[in-house]
Amino acid sequence: MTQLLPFKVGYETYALKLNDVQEVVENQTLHDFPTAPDIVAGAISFHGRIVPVVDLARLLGFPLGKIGQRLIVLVNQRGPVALGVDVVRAVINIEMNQMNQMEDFAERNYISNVINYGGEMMSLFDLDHLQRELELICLQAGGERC
Amino acid sequence: MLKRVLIVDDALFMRTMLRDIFVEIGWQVVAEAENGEEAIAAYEEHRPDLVTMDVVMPEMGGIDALKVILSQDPAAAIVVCSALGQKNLILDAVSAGAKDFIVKPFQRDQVLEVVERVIAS
Amino acid sequence: MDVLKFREMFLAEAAEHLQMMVDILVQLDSDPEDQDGIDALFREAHSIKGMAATMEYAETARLAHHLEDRLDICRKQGRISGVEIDWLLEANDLLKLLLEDIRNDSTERSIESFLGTIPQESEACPPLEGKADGPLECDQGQQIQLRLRDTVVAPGARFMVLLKRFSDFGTVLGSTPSAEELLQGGESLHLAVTLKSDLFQQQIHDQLLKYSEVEEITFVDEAEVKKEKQPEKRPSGKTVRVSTELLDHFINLTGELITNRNQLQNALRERQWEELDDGVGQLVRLVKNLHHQVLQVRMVSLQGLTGRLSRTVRDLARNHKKEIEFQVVGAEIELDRAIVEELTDPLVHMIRNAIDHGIEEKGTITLKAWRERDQVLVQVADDGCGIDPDKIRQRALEKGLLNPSQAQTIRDYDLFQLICQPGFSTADEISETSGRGVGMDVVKTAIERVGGLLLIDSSPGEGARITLKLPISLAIIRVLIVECDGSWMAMPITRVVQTVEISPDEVQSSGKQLMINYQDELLPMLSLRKILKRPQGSPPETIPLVVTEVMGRKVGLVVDRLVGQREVFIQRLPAPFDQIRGCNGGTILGDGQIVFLLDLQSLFERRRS
Repeated sequence: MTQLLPFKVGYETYALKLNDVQEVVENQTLHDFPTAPDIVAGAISFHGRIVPVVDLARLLGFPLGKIGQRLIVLVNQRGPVALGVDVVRAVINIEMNQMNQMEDFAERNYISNVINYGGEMMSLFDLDHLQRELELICLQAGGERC
Repeated sequence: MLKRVLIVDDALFMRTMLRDIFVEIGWQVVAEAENGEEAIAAYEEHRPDLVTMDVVMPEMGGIDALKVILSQDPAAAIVVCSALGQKNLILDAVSAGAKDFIVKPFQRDQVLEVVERVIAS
Repeated sequence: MDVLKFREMFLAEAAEHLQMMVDILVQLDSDPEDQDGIDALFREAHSIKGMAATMEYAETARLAHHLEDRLDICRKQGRISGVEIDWLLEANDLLKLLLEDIRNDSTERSIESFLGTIPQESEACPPLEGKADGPLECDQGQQIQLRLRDTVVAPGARFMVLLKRFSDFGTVLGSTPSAEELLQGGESLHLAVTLKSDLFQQQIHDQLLKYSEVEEITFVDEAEVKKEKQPEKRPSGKTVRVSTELLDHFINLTGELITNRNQLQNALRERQWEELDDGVGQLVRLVKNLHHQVLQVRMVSLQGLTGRLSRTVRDLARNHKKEIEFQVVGAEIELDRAIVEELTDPLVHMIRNAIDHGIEEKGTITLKAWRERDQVLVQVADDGCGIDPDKIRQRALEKGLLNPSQAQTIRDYDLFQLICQPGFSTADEISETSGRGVGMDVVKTAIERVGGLLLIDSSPGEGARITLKLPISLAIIRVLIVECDGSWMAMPITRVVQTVEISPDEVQSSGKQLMINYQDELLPMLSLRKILKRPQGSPPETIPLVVTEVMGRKVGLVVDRLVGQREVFIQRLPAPFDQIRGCNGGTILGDGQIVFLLDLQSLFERRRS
């Protein structure tokens, strides 16, 4: 059995494996990160650490919401990062065999799998892809903005 | 008789998750509290068999609440819940008298194991 | 025969070997069975012995010989114990003192008393005794060893819970790590508990099985424990040696803090506000003191570097057939370990430059370090031909770093800083040591990475001086906080030349560029808002300026407001956000506000690209 944390960004329902989630935090003060690329909405102070906040709506091309209301802080081997999302739902438990391998959607890179949960479709968010994209964006930060 | 639990956590999300687990194994959730002060009051009122106590909460945190509860009822069975990055707080909680601990994000089975252990001992 | 010359060579070489030994010993400390390490250590000792014997430094040779003997035993055992590592480090210190004696032309000190401290072979182990299952009630108790799964998140706390559980079974006579060690954050996946109990092994075993975090449970006989104990386990990871004097300071401080706590508790209970105020004042002083002492633990002197540098000088001098004297002043100056590590390559490079381009046939290179308030200055100076401003000017024109009118007006001092521009090189031919094109820009980047500043100064015929201004400690630095577009941002104070407020009347324009006259010098004015792509603010009555140095030139950075200086703890940002250019980490202020540390240099590079 796998535990998933479903959340909404824009029109889409995504899910993260609960094991990848450290905490869901609400109503955080977002601080300006002056040199960061656009997709970084700022940073929060999370248990004494500076944690950058990725604006998922902007990254995924959805209309922009208000960032900072609901953040999912990820457990990450390389360092913490928070994802700004619109809605966080209750955890669900699901058997792995309910997961259907997603067909090849090249333009939707952030999805590693689609899950059918009682008739509702959820996209399993691809954290590896996010990590690679963030690396690229951070390395290039600055160059294309000027 | 139903076993009775008090759930203390400032995040609705965590409380809901724990409540689901306890309900599933046939426990009665006698109260939920969002901070240390509420937890102390709820413990006094219900005297539950088990308390799950979040460590970091606004106002009064879990460790302070744990100390107060234990000073009033040294036999209180308190399990602390804490996030990955708070190892030192877990240590403080255990040395202050917590019976066991669970690290967030946790799996249902981990919660069950700890609950079973604490109730058995 | 030139005895003096050989003596210098011997001293430099021996110091080199000693440093090498220290490096290896530190590594062996975390990996005591590294055969290659032990072998290398043996060779180092052997080299020292051979050289000292040739030079007829009897005591030095004798001590090195003892080292060799000890290491030979270690080689045969296949491991080196912690006790031996400590002894070898002490022997190393003594050898350094002996080298000092030789350098000062005094008689070598006696090593007799030290030789008395050679660690003895451990006593033979007591005979083994089998033991059947039964209550664990013998006087010494029984040892139970636990290993946790490597997925366990908080092993320390898990062991604390288990230790409490053990005390339900009986009396815990002791444990490794102890409860105190666990509380101090000692983390290991192994726990050994000595337990006296009425329960049977099987009962305890069954109870322990309820902990899925425990991977392995072993009941060990006390006799076996003694045998096991011989190979002493030492904590792995980076270790530092702390002087007992420093530890005493910590103990005294702890005492003072306890007194302070009592005072505060008292004052609070009795509502004595004045006394409370007093106590908090004390606390401020104590915490400051504690912070200072903790930083001390991270401090190392430049001494560790000088051996490698003098060797570089000697080798290069020989290659170039130049006669070069290397002087070191202030090697005892201490800096944060991380900064000293970053400093090695830049210093080697600067020395190479001095030999390559500065000194022609014969000369002196001086490495000088000194403290100035909360900075350390490290200077490499040579008495060679100096840097020719005309050559630099020519080169800068060719490279397009200056336009012809700038080339005429630029001051020599500013001209010299251009040497650190990427791709700049004045060597007329490619040389084997310094090469062409790469060089000072790399040095400058390395220095700036640790929050330092690099300044070049030269007068024709009087040689060149390169000065590094470095913060004493990496993690905690003094910053200037400025406001820009409603946000606070910080820059290391080491990068700030001065802050001034000017009136808009003082602004001059030269073409598109706004300039300001600062101490008889025209500085270009740059707007932080513009650099960060922020909207323009309303025109202020006075313009707050930070005079700083970027790309080798002084500039006036226009900010919205100068907030002030703070001492802050800089956090590195989590990957990959640490890659974002223009930012070198951040800090959380007392009120929870996050302030990012601007890296002006890369901000400007980013602006150009």
